[in-house]
Amino acid sequence: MIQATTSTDPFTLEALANTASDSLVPNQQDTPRGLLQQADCYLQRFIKYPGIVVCHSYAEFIHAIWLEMDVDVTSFVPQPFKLYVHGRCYIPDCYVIHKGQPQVIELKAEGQFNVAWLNEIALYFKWHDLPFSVISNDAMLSHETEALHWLPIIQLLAQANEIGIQTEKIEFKLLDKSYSLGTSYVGNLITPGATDQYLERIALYRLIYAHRLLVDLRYRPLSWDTELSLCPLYGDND
Amino acid sequence: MPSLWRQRLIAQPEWGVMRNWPSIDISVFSSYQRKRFQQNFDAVKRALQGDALRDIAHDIRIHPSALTRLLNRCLGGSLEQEPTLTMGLIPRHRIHTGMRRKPLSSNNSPSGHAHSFTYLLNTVSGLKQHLTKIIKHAKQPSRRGQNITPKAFHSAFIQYLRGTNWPQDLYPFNVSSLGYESARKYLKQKQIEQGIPKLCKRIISSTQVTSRYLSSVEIDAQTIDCHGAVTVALNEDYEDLRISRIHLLQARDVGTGCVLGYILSLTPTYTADDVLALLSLLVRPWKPISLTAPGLSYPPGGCFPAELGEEYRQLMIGMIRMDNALAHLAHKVRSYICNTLGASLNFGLVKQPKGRNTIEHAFAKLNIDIHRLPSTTGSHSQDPVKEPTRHFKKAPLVSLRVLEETVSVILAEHNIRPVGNLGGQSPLSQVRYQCAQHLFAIRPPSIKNNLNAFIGDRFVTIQQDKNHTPHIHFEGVRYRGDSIQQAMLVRTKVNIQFDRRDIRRLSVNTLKGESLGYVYAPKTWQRFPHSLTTRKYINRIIRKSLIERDDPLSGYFNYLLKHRRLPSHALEMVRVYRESIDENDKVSVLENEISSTALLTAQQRRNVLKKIPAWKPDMINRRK
Repeated sequence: MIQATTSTDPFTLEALANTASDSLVPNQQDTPRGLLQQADCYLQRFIKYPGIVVCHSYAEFIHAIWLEMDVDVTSFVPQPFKLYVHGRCYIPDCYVIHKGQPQVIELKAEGQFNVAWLNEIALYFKWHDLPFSVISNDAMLSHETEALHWLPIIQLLAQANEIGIQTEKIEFKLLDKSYSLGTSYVGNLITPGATDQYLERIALYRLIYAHRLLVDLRYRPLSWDTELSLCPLYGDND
Repeated sequence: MPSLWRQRLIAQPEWGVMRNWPSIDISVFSSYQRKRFQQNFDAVKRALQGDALRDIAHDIRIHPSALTRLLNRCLGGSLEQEPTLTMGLIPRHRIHTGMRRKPLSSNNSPSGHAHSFTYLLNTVSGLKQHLTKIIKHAKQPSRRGQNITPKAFHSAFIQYLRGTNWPQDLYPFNVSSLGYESARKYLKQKQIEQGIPKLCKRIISSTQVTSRYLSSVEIDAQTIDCHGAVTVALNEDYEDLRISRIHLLQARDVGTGCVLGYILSLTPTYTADDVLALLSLLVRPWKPISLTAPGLSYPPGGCFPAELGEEYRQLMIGMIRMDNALAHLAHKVRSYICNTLGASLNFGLVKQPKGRNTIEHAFAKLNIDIHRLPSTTGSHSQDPVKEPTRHFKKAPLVSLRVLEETVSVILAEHNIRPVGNLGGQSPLSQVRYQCAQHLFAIRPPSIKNNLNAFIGDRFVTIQQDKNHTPHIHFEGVRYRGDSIQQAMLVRTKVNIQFDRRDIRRLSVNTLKGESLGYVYAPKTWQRFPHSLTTRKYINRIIRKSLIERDDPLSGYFNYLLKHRRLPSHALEMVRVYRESIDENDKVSVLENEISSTALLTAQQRRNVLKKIPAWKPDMINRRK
């Protein structure tokens, strides 16, 4: 992660006047049809953002999945504000609430960001108590495999949340079963072909999503023989 | 600052061992070059081993300074750059691009003209930018631009130098050709450089190779490379008509290469409704066409995965990849994929079809069979397999029906053909294997009935003019019904739901979601089922005053019949005909989707519809 320079010397304070915005209330900005046609756009419904997220590059899409996987992130808003830097429109990529603190993130390929702009934008956000950071696309793409393995879990849960499916009781049952088994596998907890297999899967996926059951999806997608382990903190409490 | 060979060895001692130098294939050299190369190699090797340079030079009969030059050629140069090493041993091999060190030749001090042109480009202020601008403008022709020639380019070069008061006794003015050949070479080199396409630095697709079923699905459309024909029964006479080419929309799974579904669109350009129809096929059982063409049959077991069972239709799709066609960008398509199917949607980069090579390859493969038909258009206008122009006046022998059946059989057969990249398995058996072995995300069973892609909704206001009953404006038509005959509803906003394939009636709901009932189109629009697309076409030609507003449906059929010899109109006639007779399917969907407060039960509706005869073109004449 590249941290923007945020010194507040007189020169940069003068430069603060070059940046302005309509509003700093995070709200996904509309993607014009031209950009939808020209850019490598990805559309997906996520859990931590209510609505369809439009990502303008593959790295942004992976980043959005990465935010979903992070338990410290409570919500995020893609393309949150419209800023005017030297009279030109600039929309940062993401507004994230991380451990209760808001921050603004920009994803960029190495060396593609105007450093002078970067400092001005960082200063502007600092003035409004919003930390600003730039993440390189390559850094994000190094997590590609794991993020893509998490995608089916996020897709299923996003749809289940949209419908309003409740699975609390089944979640407790699965946790109890997992605790009694010690190290368990997905195939031990949910039964293939069962009549309520959908609810069981939702419950299991919710436990994994909340990191109450830990899985390693760095190399392989979730399958029947994926090993599940209880979150240490959760196990201690029991 | 260039360093000498000894400084290089002090800074980078690894080059002091010849074993670390790159090897080159000397068999491509001439015998003379090979001999000299070997001599140089031996000399440098001995020098690096510590032999005295004088002794080595004496042995190989060269001057010691020549040996020092050879060593500097191999190991000298800037320490920040890689040394030349083995390439420096090749005799007469030019290592560095030449540059002019002497001042330019003049009448007072004549000298050679080598590298004088490059010298001018680097020293005369603005000359290089001026010439580059000329070449760049010629590459992207504008209305005020010119097609550059070497002569014109050279003139621009000379003109610029004269404009800067360049001395008349210096190069190029002291040469008879005025540096024409150098200018020509420079122009050609730059034109070639600009003609080379730039490599795409952006990542156009994932680096991950997916093999999981449904983790990535690619959708695209193509105009089928073949004309078809239809036969119209007109006044108890039959007439063969040529129809314009139809579009094939196809969905393929990337992991297994399995064809998930296809749709043949009969509209001039395929629409978002066609894309939705294709998407809805992925979650509905497949109905094979009843084959009529002699010799054509589905291979045993040949079908699409949705036909295999309910558990195959329940699986969630990971990513749907499409190109950026307008039909794909429609809001209803985006909403259906992201909200209803719960999948991710990707529009690839412009002009980068290789990001979706599975589907692009699928069309190329299908064309191998389609190009066998005699009425094919081939791949391009000069393709020798294309139908001869002299046949254009007559309708082709291949009918639309046969064309549809052929495509259906080819795609169904593809799914059961064993392929090498799946280890000798067929795509369908791979799908079965993966579904049995792997854990897949499944769609909630509760939304099974909400997967109909054709249900649209809008917010409208109930209107009432003087002496008129309350009504709803929808696509240029006033809809009325008992459900909105209440004074309190006038000027209120309501939500209407409709089936895009049959918009004769609308379901009205309040903004709170309470169902009010149905409203119906006027009787002039009630005679035949018609889709939203048809209504838009009819409204368009009414606005052009091509048909009367009084009886639009009959007017439209009559209009199509009148222009039936135009292939596009003949195709539209087929589409409208199919739309008007394909009633049973829509009724069943409506029963599922719209609440049971309908005026007629399903059975009553079917009985009523049975009384309405299927449309034929001669009906219009009978009415007259």
